[in-house]
Amino acid sequence: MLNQAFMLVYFFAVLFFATNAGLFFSWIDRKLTARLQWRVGPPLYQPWADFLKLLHKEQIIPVGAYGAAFVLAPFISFASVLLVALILPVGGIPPPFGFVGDLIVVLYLLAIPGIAAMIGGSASANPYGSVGASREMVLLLSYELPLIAALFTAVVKTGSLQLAEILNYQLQNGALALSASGFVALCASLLAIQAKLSFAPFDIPDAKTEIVAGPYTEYSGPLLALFKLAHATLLFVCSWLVATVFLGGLVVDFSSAFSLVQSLAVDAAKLLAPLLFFSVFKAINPRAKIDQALKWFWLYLTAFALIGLALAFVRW
Amino acid sequence: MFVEGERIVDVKIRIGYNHRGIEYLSQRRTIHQIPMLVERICGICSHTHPLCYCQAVEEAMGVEPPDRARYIRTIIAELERIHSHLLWAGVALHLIGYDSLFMYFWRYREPICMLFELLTGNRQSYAVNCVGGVRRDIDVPRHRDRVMRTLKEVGDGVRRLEGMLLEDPLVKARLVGVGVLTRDDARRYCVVGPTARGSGIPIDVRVCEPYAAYAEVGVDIKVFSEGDVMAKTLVRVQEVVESIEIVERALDAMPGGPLRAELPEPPVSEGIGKTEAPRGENIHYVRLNGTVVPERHKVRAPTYANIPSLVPQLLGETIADAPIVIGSIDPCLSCTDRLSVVDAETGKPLGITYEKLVHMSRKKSRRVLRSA
Repeated sequence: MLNQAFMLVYFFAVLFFATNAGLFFSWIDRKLTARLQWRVGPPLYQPWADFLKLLHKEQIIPVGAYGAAFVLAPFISFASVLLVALILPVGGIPPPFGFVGDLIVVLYLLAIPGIAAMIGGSASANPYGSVGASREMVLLLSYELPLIAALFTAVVKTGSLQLAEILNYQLQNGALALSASGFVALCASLLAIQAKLSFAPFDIPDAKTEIVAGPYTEYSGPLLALFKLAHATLLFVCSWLVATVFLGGLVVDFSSAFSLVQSLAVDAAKLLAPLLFFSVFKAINPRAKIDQALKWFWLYLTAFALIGLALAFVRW
Repeated sequence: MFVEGERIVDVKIRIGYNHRGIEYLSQRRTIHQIPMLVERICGICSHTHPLCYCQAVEEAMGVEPPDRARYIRTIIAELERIHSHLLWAGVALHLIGYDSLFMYFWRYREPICMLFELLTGNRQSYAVNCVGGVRRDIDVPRHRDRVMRTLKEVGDGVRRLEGMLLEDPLVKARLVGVGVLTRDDARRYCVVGPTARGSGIPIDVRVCEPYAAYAEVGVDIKVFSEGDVMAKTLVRVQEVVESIEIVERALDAMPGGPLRAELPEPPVSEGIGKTEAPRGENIHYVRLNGTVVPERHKVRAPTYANIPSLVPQLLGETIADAPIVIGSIDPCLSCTDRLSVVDAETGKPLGITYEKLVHMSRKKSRRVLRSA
């Protein structure tokens, strides 16, 4: 009974924390990009304002759209991202939703936002939506393999498919990114996640100067707000995943007030490091074409990630 | 544009019917009112249209503008080219999704707009030209330092950005070999301006038929033979640097004297004005019938000459290339088109038709009126 109550509290805590942290992360991303581009950038409350504004706007479901799929897609996207946030462990708090093999489930769940975009785009009865959906599919097929190879490097290093175990291993042996194979895998996963977030140079599915907004072209009002929220949360969750698997994980140390503050500061730094990479890499690159991205992922990044995996087998 | 998957299989050019009635209006105004009207044909090249028109009327009247006026016209025209090309470079980079360099290019466009404000009082629409000369002097001793300093800052910045463009591997992957317009096609489609110069055709009104003070100041035209988007980009970026040098030379060599010539009574005559707008050759034709109101005024802006050449440039490329290829001729689309999506197999329009849109708009207006 107590356990169930804890799970319920944990669920709502994560729901509240992950979404707000996601919006905050999207603000950091926007502000940082703006500063890099000689612009002022939005104020801190902007992502919340955008979200609330969209909630109040008219909801339009296009004539000819497949309504059920069109409406469900943003919910699927948001739910899958939220589930990942529930599974990801924090050291010092017993993980209520962790289980053996949860890394594989996380991998599957992280593919769902892309699939949801495909569903929504295809269901929207819009040519830009369908072009966006087909691009999303090609991109998903390109970056999944290097991402899986990179995350499995961690599995080989730590000998566990459970995220909490990977975290514990790093608590005892130091962050995986400090080893050769771990570093290669970190780089590969950062680049693959860049595509998962559809940040430049891989902002191909929703390339605004080519196909309006790709799968999201027909979305408006609350459904668009939900897609945006899912995307912002995904930004946070992906940073969290990278921090957990490669940077030694997040730890909350309750032993004293000082250690609590210290551990939280270190956690924040670990979460911000991947975000910094995503933002800066986005700012310094133009958009690739889908065929170029496919080739680049399959030829170079996959080979790179496999080298990391091979290094892990020889215990580097 | 017809696509199969991501590939472009056919292109049909349809210029829109957004009728602005500039020529109609022009034929109902006096020749001295028209510069203000044609200045508003385009907000980006708002010097080249009145200049071109004034040259046409001057030719019809047999008037030569005074030397100082010709130099002032040259300086403003070249500053306009700098700001227009920098604006284009920003937009082009935005089209390939490179928003950081987009912002950097526009950061260097801003000082040029400030210069315009200093020299003419306006950031755009400078209202410098009048028939027979210019309306406004440039106070060279007072502004020279400021202008030279700004030009140096912009020149250095643009050279640095050109280096960044040339070194970025992904920019190369997006621009090199994309949207190629061969020399033969360029001739066949009679393209003008940077689009022609990017395909190895050295035409430039400033050199071929010098007007204003270009014969004295000298112009070194930039020509690249590749014909792809990269070549057209480099033409424009290097023309910015060249234009900066032209302004510097013109400022130093500026002669004294009056700003406008005495005008005779309007004769029965006709004249053609030609200028090199940032986008290419601009032509104005004016026929006078002995009154101050022109009998006929015809404008041919450079985009009109360049748009048909998009067909060979777009065929076989992908949707992802379409924006930058269309952008590469620097189209002035303010008067061009809306878009409709058509099923290539049946030829039926998909989505919303014009009649439907009108119907819906009327319905919405009625609803708004009722609730108000």
